[in-house]
Amino acid sequence: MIGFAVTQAKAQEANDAVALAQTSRGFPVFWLPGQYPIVSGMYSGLVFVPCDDQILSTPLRGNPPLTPVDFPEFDQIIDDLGGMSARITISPSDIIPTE
Amino acid sequence: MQYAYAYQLNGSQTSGLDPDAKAYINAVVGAGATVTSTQRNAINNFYKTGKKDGWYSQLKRMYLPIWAAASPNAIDMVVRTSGTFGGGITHSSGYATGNGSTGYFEYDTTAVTQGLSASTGLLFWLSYVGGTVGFQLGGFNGTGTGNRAVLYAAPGAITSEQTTLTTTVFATGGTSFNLGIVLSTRTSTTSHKVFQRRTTFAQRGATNTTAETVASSSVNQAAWARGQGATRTNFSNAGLGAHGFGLGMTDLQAENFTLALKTLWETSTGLALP
Repeated sequence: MIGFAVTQAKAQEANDAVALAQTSRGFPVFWLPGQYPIVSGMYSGLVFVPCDDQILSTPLRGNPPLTPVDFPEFDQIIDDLGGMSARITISPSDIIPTE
Repeated sequence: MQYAYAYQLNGSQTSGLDPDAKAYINAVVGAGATVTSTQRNAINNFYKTGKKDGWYSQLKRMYLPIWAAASPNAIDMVVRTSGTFGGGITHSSGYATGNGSTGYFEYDTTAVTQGLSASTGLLFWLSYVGGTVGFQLGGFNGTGTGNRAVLYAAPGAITSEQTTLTTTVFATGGTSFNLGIVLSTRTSTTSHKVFQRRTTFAQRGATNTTAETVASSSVNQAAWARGQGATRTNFSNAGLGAHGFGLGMTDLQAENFTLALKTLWETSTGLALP
């Protein structure tokens, strides 16, 4: 999985910014990238914010549907996470404590 | 204009425009989706059939993620509030698919808030692509022994957990058990059943008559996962064309509802229930 490994505060800021991009336009919060505690591996203790091609191309709303990268806030949110070059790859098992 | 719109919606089984159908269609169109006249008729017939047959009032939240975009797919058909998608969910025409690792959908409300209890409850999904991992529906307090409103089918079994930590496997069989419409209904503290509709409608397994006294889940309901926030786990890779929850349905209501849902989904998508 590809995304950012950041602090809990930074992951929350990113999700809050995505939520604000929706509410500021009068929309409900219908989509978030999500945030997932990393429980094993070299990034254990940080929080994973997914940012792979699937996330970036998610059809959100409109006709044709806008994707996350179509929103003007996108570049700033990515910059705040460290930029696209800061993305890392982790195993799904590093974030999923399946019971 | 309103008369013309209602007239346009009139089909052989429809007389007039249901106000809930109109509100849902308007919400979906407002989110950018295109709703064809065939789809409008199917949606209108679904509401009118449900109100006539008495099962519509049992629904508390129902989602129809057929519109190939997150915003319209997040709109509830009952009260038109929005849930929230998170992580990796693929929005296709006719259904949405989890990635089994991060994708989920969070309802805007909990099972307890909507009246699910030890004596009444309804959980359902329509699965077009069978999941191989995770939970299709997972209202769940915390971890371990939390109260729950859970319905899932890993390959070869359908499991429903309404209210307690007791895991009740209702059916075991082949991977086809993941597919079609699966519905779990509780109509009393000692009656918990699971039904499935594919080409036919049938009860799966025996009725669970274990007396229940425990409350249902009090965290926001999840689809494609179990739990909420940092404790969300068990992500599913199923392809769902509908899902929701509500109050318990009688056997007849469950049969009529699943038939109406099958008709709605197949007519709206052009796909066949597997």
